[in-house]
Amino acid sequence: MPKIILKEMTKAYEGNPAIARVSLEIEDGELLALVGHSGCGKTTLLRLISGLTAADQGHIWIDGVEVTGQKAEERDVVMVFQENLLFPHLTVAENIAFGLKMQKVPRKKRTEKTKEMLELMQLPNLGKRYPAELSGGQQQRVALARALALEPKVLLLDEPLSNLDPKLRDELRELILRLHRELQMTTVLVTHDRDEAMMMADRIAVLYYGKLLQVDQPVNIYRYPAAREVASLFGQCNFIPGLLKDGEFQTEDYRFTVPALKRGGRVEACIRSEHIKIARPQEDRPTGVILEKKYLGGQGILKIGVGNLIFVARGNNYFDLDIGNQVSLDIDWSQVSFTKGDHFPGDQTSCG
Amino acid sequence: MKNLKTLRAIINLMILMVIVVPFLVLVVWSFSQGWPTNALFPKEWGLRGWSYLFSPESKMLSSIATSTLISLTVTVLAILLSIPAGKALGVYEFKGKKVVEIIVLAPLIIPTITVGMGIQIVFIRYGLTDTLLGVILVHLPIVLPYGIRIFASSYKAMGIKWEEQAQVLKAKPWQRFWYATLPFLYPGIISAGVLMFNVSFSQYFLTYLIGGGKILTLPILLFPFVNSGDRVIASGLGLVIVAVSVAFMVIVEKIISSPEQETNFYYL
Repeated sequence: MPKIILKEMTKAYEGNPAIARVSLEIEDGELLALVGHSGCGKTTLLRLISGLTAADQGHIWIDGVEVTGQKAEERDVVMVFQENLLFPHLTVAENIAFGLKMQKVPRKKRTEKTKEMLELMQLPNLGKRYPAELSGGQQQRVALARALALEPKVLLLDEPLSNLDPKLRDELRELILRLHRELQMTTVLVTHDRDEAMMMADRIAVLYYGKLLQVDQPVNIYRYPAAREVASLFGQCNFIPGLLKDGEFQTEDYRFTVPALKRGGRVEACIRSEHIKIARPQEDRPTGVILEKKYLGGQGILKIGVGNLIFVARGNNYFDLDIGNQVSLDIDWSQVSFTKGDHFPGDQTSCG
Repeated sequence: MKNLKTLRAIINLMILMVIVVPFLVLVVWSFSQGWPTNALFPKEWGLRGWSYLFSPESKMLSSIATSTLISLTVTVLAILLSIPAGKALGVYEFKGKKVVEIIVLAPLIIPTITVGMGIQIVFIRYGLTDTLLGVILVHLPIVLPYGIRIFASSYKAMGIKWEEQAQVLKAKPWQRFWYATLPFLYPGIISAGVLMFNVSFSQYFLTYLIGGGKILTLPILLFPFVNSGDRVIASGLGLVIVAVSVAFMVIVEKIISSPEQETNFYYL
């Protein structure tokens, strides 16, 4: 049975829907990443689960019990905010024990739990310090420890890594994953970082202007995006409209043989930039002129104009090629996904 | 560079003059016996002023007690009232907020005489004139704007994120206030408390109007001496008023600010 069930949740701020009829099931022990552009309802959805925000409509069950009307302090859910919000007037140990103290857990037990948490977070001997004396990474660990000390059924993380520098981010990401595996805690993670979502999540839920576009495993999100918006959220895509028919993908100028597919009719091919290889000019392949060239350290990005289309290809550094050269595109069609040509009908103005 | 230093020195000196010299004059006056108008220093020195003040007939000690009791009660009540009011103005958006803001600030702008007359008529009807309670009640609206302003800005700066953090850590409403919010308000409580205590402590007109001369606070005691020109006693009393105010400020600071807060990183 799923740990969290959301049914038709809706929340609007001053008439603008932030979350529109979202239904979602989160499995026990799962790490689900909520992904989307900033301001498109991720944090609102997290707040709805936590109980900090009450939904306008819809129902929510946690562990089989309906908690729709329960306040945040009554739900067995703890949220870690983006800013770590450690109480500056309390020591690290007092911060970690805060939740236990609020629940009137005896002091002796609190002390034990705090010690256990400090060890788990690899922060021994820091209990007597004040948050201002810690580094950003240590502060975020304490915030995590403070949440975990309550042993919640569900842990909600609102962009816990976004305020950290890359090295600390890697460390803390590994720590969160390790804790998640050890403690078997159902975790919902909000992030706008697609790599973070891909690396950490068991499943990814893509939110777009308050609506759920797709909920699936990272691999499927990447390989079979349900909509153009999902595809472009997870990497650079060349969207080519065309007709899918008899094992062929037909554009205005070219016909491509593609692997057998169930879908047919007017579609949009999402060709990822990393699935286009550059070849010598060949007659049966789309051929065009290099318009732009960029280096990304280990990789290079080429913009190639083919007819009235512009393709972006990403691969090795193409040292032997330059702007103006004629090249052909070698597209790996086994990796290409097709979506219905029409765009997701998201109301662009409703994004708050 | 050198010019700037000179300028700074001059400004410092001017500030010193404005603040310290009036004090020195008060001290000198209070220990004088007679001070002819054209003399730089008093001709005779003596303790007439001080010995009168500390004699029972001056009623100084009892009016210190009355004044302190009134101002302390007013300050405590005003803080209790202005914290929720400040939260409402600092955090929440509601219809008519602008109007409420103006009403709250009105006592600072409207002359107390205008309000005082109306209040007196009402208080006579309810038998509140000539009573301690009446004086306390009439001081409240005068000091409240200071507290509400200060707490509104405290709340505006801190937002409700700390309360929410406490809430997800299972704190009930009163626990959220006590453990998460209150520590952030300490600096505001100190400044609002000291300000409100002093405004109440030095209030003459309303105390006189409502207290009817029966409630003897220090300013009420002071006025006749200023009026009759007995500067020796008036100066002594003035110093006593300053001393009590300063003592209150020091005590409040000592009680409320704890050692770990001395980094004062969240002083507003």
